[in-house]
Amino acid sequence: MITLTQARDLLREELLAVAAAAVPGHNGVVTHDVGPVNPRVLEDGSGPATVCLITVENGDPAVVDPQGQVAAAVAALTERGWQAKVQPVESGHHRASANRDGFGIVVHGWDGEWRLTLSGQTPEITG
Amino acid sequence: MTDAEPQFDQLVARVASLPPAKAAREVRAHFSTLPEPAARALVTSRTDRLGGLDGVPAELRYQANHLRLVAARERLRDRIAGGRASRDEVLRFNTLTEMLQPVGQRLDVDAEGNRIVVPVHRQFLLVQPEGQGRMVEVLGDLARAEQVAVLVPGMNNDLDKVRSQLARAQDLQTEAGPGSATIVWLGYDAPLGLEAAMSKQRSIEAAPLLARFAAGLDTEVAPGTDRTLIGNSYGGQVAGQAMLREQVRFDRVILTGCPGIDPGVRSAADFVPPGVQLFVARAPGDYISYAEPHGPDPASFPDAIRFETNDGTVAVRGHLSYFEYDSESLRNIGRIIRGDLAAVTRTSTTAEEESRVLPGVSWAEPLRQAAASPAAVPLAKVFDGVRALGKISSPPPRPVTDGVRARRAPGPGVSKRPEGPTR
Repeated sequence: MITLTQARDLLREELLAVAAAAVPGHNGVVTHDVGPVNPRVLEDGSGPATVCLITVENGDPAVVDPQGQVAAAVAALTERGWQAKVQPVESGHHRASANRDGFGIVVHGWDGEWRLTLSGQTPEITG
Repeated sequence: MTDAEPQFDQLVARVASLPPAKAAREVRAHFSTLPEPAARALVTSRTDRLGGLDGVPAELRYQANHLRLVAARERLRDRIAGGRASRDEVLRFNTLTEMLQPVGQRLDVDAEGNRIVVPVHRQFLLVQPEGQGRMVEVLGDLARAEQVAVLVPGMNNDLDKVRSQLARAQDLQTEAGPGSATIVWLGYDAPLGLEAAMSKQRSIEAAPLLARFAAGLDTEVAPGTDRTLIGNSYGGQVAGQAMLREQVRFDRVILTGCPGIDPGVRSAADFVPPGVQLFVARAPGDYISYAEPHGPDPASFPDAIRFETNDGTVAVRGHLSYFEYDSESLRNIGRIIRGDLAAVTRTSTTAEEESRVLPGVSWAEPLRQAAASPAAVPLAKVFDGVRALGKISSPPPRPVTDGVRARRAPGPGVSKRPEGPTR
């Protein structure tokens, strides 16, 4: 059984690996690393299950290619065993989501924006 | 003491009785003419008052509230060191310590266009470290934001839940995209327990506080900034009372899992300012919305836009998961914040359809009748008592479909919510 700490470390490693694959020549930066939190705290934080949420950014200020970077991220995710899907572009929002073993990752790119954002959440783990 | 201190004290006394918008503008005007050294001096000499005064420039409030957190933590540290601290005080010490940690970092460019990593510090527009605790936290740059979303949490939220609120604010900001800022407004004493949440007392007390905050926000953001107010659960009751009683105005309003506004409020036009769009989410099985403890469910209002919470992949069910990671509910909230309204997916299922257990048999209407009966408050007491004993916890969501609206089928490679880690 995996612990929440192990899950958090694994998620961080995956996000950084995918971020690096999506933007050649640059390493991703962990922008937020929050947890453990109760995912349903907005109503009531007394539930037993907890998750961690991590966000990573990567990008080259000289390169604005959200579509290509999201596609590259999806390819990297698939190669690493994630089940990934690119969603239809919405008003310049390029988005893909992926799942593996209870973990979730969402990749966001935006028209005119050089930064690629990858957010991830661990499975809910009690205790 | 310089002249700035007595002038500030007079300002605070004067604006206390003014309407929110006028008060905030007067405070902002005062600070716009104040020399920077004098303003900085007030941060240390009038820390508590300045930190919570709407209309004061955000950067000054961030500094003041940081100092307030440090001072409160030091007081608790002394009590812990002296062996006099209660369990709650130790918990609060840990909370305050965490609130002083940087929120993270971000990528940016320097003047030469080179990529740099910039630390992101916590930004509090309000901190009240004592008792139940209050706080208002900002993610993003308010002065430069093109869209700002204010999230009002519901019952059972106190200062010690700040970490989870931060996580939700981050999710919202990520979904809303570049140029957005999000704010968690826990600037009121949320009801602790179902019995307290059956009363409007806390929301009525919160309404003028939210009105003053909104007025202060108007002085901080650039003209034309899109502002969205989000009320979740009892937070929707707070947002509703603020609009109803204080004429609080945002560009758009989102209510998720709303317990109703008032028995007399039966449409958006009854409480939302003219020209403001009301977006409402009610997930299948949301027992609070079905019960309507404070009035008709806004999801049934003819002039509200009811948005979808489920897309067949990530389940949003019941009352607790409107902000579920990667859900259609969270994505729709992001779309609304950034103004991509054409992309918002909608639903029109009825409570009866959503709660049907057998043909012709559903549980939403019996629940509504029970909530309206004299037994509701005693039942709430029992619920709170059992919950306090740890007998009731929040069940994880399960995959659901509304059963009425045609849904997008999961694409190849997209699984239902997995059951747990295997590595």
